[in-house]
This record gives sequence, structure tokens and C-alpha cells, in this order.
Amino acid sequence: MNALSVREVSKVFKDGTEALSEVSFDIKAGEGVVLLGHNGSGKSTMFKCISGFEKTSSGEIYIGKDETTFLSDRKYRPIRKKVGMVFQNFHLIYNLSVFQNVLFGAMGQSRNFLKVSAPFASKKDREKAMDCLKRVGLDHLAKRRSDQLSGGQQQRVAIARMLMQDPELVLADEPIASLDPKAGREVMELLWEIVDERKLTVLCILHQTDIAMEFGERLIGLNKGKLVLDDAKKNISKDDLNMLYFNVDEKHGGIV
Amino acid sequence: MNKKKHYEHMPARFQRPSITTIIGLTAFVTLFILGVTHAQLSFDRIFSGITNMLRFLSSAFPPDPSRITAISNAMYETFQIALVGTAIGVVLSVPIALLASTNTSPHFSIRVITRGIVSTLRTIPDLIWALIFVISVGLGPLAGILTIIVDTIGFCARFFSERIEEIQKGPSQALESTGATKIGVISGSIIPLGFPSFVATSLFAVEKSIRSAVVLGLVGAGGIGVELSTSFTLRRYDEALMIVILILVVVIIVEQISSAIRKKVI
Repeated sequence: MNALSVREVSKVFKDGTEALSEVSFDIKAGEGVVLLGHNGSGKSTMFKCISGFEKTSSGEIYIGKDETTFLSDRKYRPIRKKVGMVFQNFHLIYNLSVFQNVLFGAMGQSRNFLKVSAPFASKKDREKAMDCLKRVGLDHLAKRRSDQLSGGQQQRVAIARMLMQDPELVLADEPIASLDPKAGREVMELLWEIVDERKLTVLCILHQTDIAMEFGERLIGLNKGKLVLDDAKKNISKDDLNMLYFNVDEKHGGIV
Repeated sequence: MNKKKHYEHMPARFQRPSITTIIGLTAFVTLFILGVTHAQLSFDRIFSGITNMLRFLSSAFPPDPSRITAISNAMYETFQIALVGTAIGVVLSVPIALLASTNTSPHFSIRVITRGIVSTLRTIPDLIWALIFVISVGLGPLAGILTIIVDTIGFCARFFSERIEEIQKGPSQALESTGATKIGVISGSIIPLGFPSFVATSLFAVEKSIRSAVVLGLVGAGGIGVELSTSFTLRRYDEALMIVILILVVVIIVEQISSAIRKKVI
């Protein structure tokens, strides 16, 4: 069964820029896929289309069995609950506690905001938030303000928030781009461990080809909005990756 | 490289002042000169002004504390008007600011209408609001409280809204991605992220309201302004100075407290 299906998706912005051009791929449940491509290749647009923050111009996107294309925010909400997201800049509420940030992961479970506010949250949710924090090794920092943590720790909190959501599909948008190599590797290891142990499906955007080759079972590559690479890791050579990043014209910010 | 062509890339405003700048500057200088002329600013007038000021000060010293109880009660009423008015105004400003902000307003037309209302509240001076409310609800503190509420909404809703629009959309997107409702996203990200700024603005509003509340009494909207007005009318300058000193003490205390809270919150 496919956890995510992208069928001939195109995205043309109002200024005429074609960010995605008839991109198609399927991700099976439990698969760990890395999406690669230079800046401006359409990765982030793809990510936003899948997560519903951007509407596609044409094509279809399915999350599990649910078609998400052209759904209103309201109708998309129940589907979003199944999709956990990890962002490049963590996107924590910086002036709230680590614990509160993790609790917010359960926000989609209830229409009542107070149920995920630390003083009013149920015992079950509070214990679950602490379990999620323990899983990422930060239960001892639950009371801290999230902006008092290092970048690596903040990304771990974001992963704990994603865990709190109980997702089936994880979308990670350059989760280690803001981190130093050591912290970045630790975050990737943690993310992949969690994905493996919970048998989650993951689509992770990365720039680091070495990390992509180490963690991804399958690699998808975009260039100028077109799908130019989609294969299992074992079939991909270094030349394929070099082509993806360096055979780019100057207009798109790469090296010729 | 051709030197002339090279300079063409320089922003236009660095090459020569624009027509708009020249017109603007000319208008400003003309208005300034006309303003100074109209005020009939002369050495004689300044000299007589200083003499009158010294005469006032000599008759005001020493301040007269004989009516300190009545004055203190009036000051307390002023403080109450400011505090109650600001508190209600701040609470009302939050939803109004949410409706007026690009990133939280449910619809473009609602945003435009709300912004229009807030601008109107802000544009009309507090003394005029006080006169309107004195006519509507009669003399006394209620007119003062209503004036402060309106004045606070005009001030706070605008600044709250500006802060809300500055908030990065990332954290809101993160909550939206969990399947949270719009209210959940606003309560979980917009309000907490804007909170320090809301508190700072509200404390400025309290300071502003106390100064406003003092003046409101002059048009009968309650508080110490009535006492001040009476003292000046009866030429009891020593009592007026006592009132001014009391106002000064209260304003300084409030400013110190609000500055301490601001430092703690931000």
C-alpha cells in the first residue's frame, strides 16, 4: 500500500515560474525516501504541495487513500493529523516551555485548544508528552524555555512534537540544514531510529548527498521542477548525484 | 568598464534627489517658516512669558497641602479610571487586532473594516471622545473610563496588529500541520509569540492613560482634572502646584513599575 502518491503534479506560480512539472512518484508504507535537488529545483514546493500549504496547479496527491488535491483547509485538517512534519528551522514557540511545545503536537486531536495547554491537559497527554521527550533524550529539559536549547536540542523537541502527533507519514524539510555536522548526524540518526521502530513512512528533503546515501533506502531527485532521479540507493552512483547538483545552469544558482 | 554605465546601476536616490524629495523639503521649510511667523515668536513675547511664568511660580510656592485628602481621592479616582479603562481596552484590543491583521483575519473585507474603525478611534483625540461621552452618559468617571477604553483600543489594537503581522509563519505552520484548528493555531502560536510585545504595549497604554485621565477631568470626565481646573480658575496656584506634584509622583511610580514589569517580560 502506498503511504504517499504524487501523480503528475505541476505547480506554476502567478509570475509564470514553473516550480514543478508533471512530477510523479509513490512511496510505500514504511519506506524511507530522501528527496534531493539544488536550490530552486522544486523540493520545497513539492513539500508544501504535499503538506497542503501550497495548492498544485494540476495533478493529484494522495496521502494513504485520501486525495488531498484542492481540499479546503477545513477538509484537509483530518488528513494533516496523520502527517508529522519536521522543519529546517524547528518552528518551536520559542518563548514557551519545551514541554508545552511537545504537548502542542496533540493539537489536532481536539478542537478544544485548552486540552493541549499545559495546566489543563489530561494526565494521559502529559505523560505521553514526557514519554516523547524521553524518547528524544530531553525529558530532563522539559521545563526549559525552548529558545534556551541548542539547535540540535530544539530539533529533537520538534521531533518529540511530531511523535506526540502519532503520525503515519513523516515529512522532514531539510531537518539538519541549520545544524553543525555532528548535531545534524545525531538528529538524522534519532529520526531514522524512531521512523524504524514505529514503522513510519518518511520523505526527507536533504542537501547532503553523503547523509542521503547513508540513510535513504531510495533517493528521488528533482532538477528544474522535473523528476530526474528515482531509484533505490544501491542503484545510484556518485555520478548520478553529481549530475543532480552540478549540471545546473547559472540562472538557478548552481555551478555549470 | 564604461564609468558612466557603471554608475547607472547606483540607486537613483544616490545620483540626484528626486522631485518628490525636493517638493517635500520645500513644503516642510515653507510650513515651518509660516508656523514660526504665525506664532508671532518675538524676543518681547518670550521675555514677558518668562516673567509671567516666574510670577506664577512665586505665587504657587510653597504648595498648599490643606486639601490633600480631597486631592488624593481625586487622584485615586483618576488612577481607577485609567486602570479600568486600559484593562478593558487591552482585552478588547486582542480580538480586534486579530481581525485587523493580514495573517489572522478571516476575510479581506473584515480586515479593512476593522482597520478603518481602529484608525477612526485613534484619529479622534481623547478630549473629543471625553466630550462625546460626557454628553452621552453625563459627567463623572464613567465618561472617563469609556474615553480611556476607546483611546486604548485605538492605540493597542494598532500595535498588537502590527506585532501579529510581524510574527513569522513557521511556528503557526508547525501547529497547522498537526491538524490544529485556526483558533488553536492563533491561541498556540500567535498569542504566545506576541505576548511580550502585547504586555509592553499595554504598559505603555497604562502610562498614557494616566496622563490622559488627568486631562479628561478638565471636560468633566471625572478625576483630578476637575480639581486642577478649579484651582486654576480660582487662581489658587499653590493648590494647583500641590496637584501637579501629586500627578507627577503617581505618573513616576506607575512608569517605574511598568518599566520593571516590561524588563521582566521581555
